Amino acid sequence: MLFNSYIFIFAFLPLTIVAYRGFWSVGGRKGAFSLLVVASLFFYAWWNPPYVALVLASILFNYLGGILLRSIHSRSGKPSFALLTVWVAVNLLLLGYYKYANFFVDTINYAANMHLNVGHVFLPLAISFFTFTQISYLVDTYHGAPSEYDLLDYCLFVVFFPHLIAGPIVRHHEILPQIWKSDGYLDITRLPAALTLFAFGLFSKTVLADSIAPYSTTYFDSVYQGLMPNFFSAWIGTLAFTCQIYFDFAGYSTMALGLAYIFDIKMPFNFDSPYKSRSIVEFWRRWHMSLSRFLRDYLYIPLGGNRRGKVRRYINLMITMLLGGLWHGAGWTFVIWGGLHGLYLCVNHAWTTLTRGRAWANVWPMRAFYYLVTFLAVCAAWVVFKAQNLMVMRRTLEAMVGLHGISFPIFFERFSILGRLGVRFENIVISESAVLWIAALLAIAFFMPNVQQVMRNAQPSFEPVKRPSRIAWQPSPGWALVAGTALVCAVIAMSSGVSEFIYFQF
Amino acid sequence: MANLDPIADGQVANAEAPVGKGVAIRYLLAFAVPLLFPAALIALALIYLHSVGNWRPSRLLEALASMKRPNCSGGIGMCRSMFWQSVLP
Repeated sequence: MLFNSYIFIFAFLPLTIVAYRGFWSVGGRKGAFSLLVVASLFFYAWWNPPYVALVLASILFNYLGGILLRSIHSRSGKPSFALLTVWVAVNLLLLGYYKYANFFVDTINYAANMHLNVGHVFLPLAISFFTFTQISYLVDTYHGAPSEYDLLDYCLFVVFFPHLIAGPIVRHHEILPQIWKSDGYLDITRLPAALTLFAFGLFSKTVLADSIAPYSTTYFDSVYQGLMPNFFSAWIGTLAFTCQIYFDFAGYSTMALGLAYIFDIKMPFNFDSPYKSRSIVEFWRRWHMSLSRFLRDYLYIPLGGNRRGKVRRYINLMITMLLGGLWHGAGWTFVIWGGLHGLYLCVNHAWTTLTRGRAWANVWPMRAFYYLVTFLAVCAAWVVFKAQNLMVMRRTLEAMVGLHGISFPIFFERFSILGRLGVRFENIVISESAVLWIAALLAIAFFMPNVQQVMRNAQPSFEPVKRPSRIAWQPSPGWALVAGTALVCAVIAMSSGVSEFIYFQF
Repeated sequence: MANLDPIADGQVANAEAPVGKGVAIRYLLAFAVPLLFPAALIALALIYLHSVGNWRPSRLLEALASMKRPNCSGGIGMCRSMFWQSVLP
């Protein structure tokens, strides 16, 4: 079930809220949370009911792992690394089988000219998310973190529907104490902020992201079918996808925050205007923040982080980002995307080291240059991320740097400076609406505060807002009208078709 | 990645604005106002269609059913046009 579907908005969510309140009246905290677990499993089962068994088996297996790790630690006085290794390996094998079996077999077949066949392995929804969530639980338990929870609370932590399908990747010490302390009461005073977050998130997805999506999809599909892109169409297609993924992910993250807040659970922030970054390091502090944190704490730091010299640090960065890329999908384009970001991070750290203490590196033209370079680097990486195969990626990147010639539509002939720069003008058919949409969406991304900044007064996350905006939400009728209108526009926009979230497939 | 600390120095601690029950209810009522517009428009459209005659609610159901026909495959625009052809008097 998708957050941006009629069945979710008009049936699942209202019924869950009403039933949650009803079960609380009858069974108190246990009743309310049991209902929430069942509702979350139903939410998951809507996609493919048999795979609920896989989720439940994974939960029981890891819950048992937590019990065993704690019991060995308390009996012998030291944690069992062997047990942790076995439990993490089983999780990774499960993920590896479902997500990467086809990819590895295809790669081996291609490289060794073999004909191995494992059949078509169907990828269970959200397997990456619930696996990572539980690996972090096991590793923290191994390190002695307090992790003794009731099975019901643990189930809710893993399957809670606002984060189950596409994150954020939550950690037990952030969420389970909230569940544990909560009395399960559905407080109406939280609904204004929670519904406003949901409305703004839905607007971001269905009005902004889905409106620009056809332009990027058309472009990449055309190149996949053999079209040789020109300079202009490659940039339009790339910028359209750059905007699409931004508002798609912003929308999902905001909706998840709002939905969890209805039930008095505060999620971590997962998105913080990443295109306002001045470096790639900053970009990864703002984009998919929960994944960055996971990769840092459970991969980069265990690999040695920056504690074993500069060379090792760069190697660790590359390994972390390559695996982070592979986490996104079983395909070489995702591996290259991760590798590219690893390379960007290495260059970023090297540049920071080289220019430390140099005044010229921090003057305003240089700062403006940093913003531009960061954004262009991210755009180039999105081409790799979106491309269906290496041919599409190569052709698009070549066209973007002008290797297929630089020509603009005749419309631009009126700007004489372009002619003087040697730009050719051709009868290229472009969609003016695409250009206008891209300009408007980039202006929002660069200059507007994001929803979490606007909603800081409501404090929907356990993390503080880093850069509060001047525009601040208040529980006033004016804001209610704005949010209600956003919801109506978003629901009307859904009539042209419901689309999946980009991160839904991971 | 070494600097990927999501919680950096210099953050602003956010003060949670207390929302009373009365304020919350007023907010939710105002939130629902824009939702009434589409409902009102649909009601007006149904009244209009009924007033011009030769129209009955069951035609709406027939029109919705027409959108599920196999020949309704020319994209959403095609389906919409079939829908309106079926609904309008």
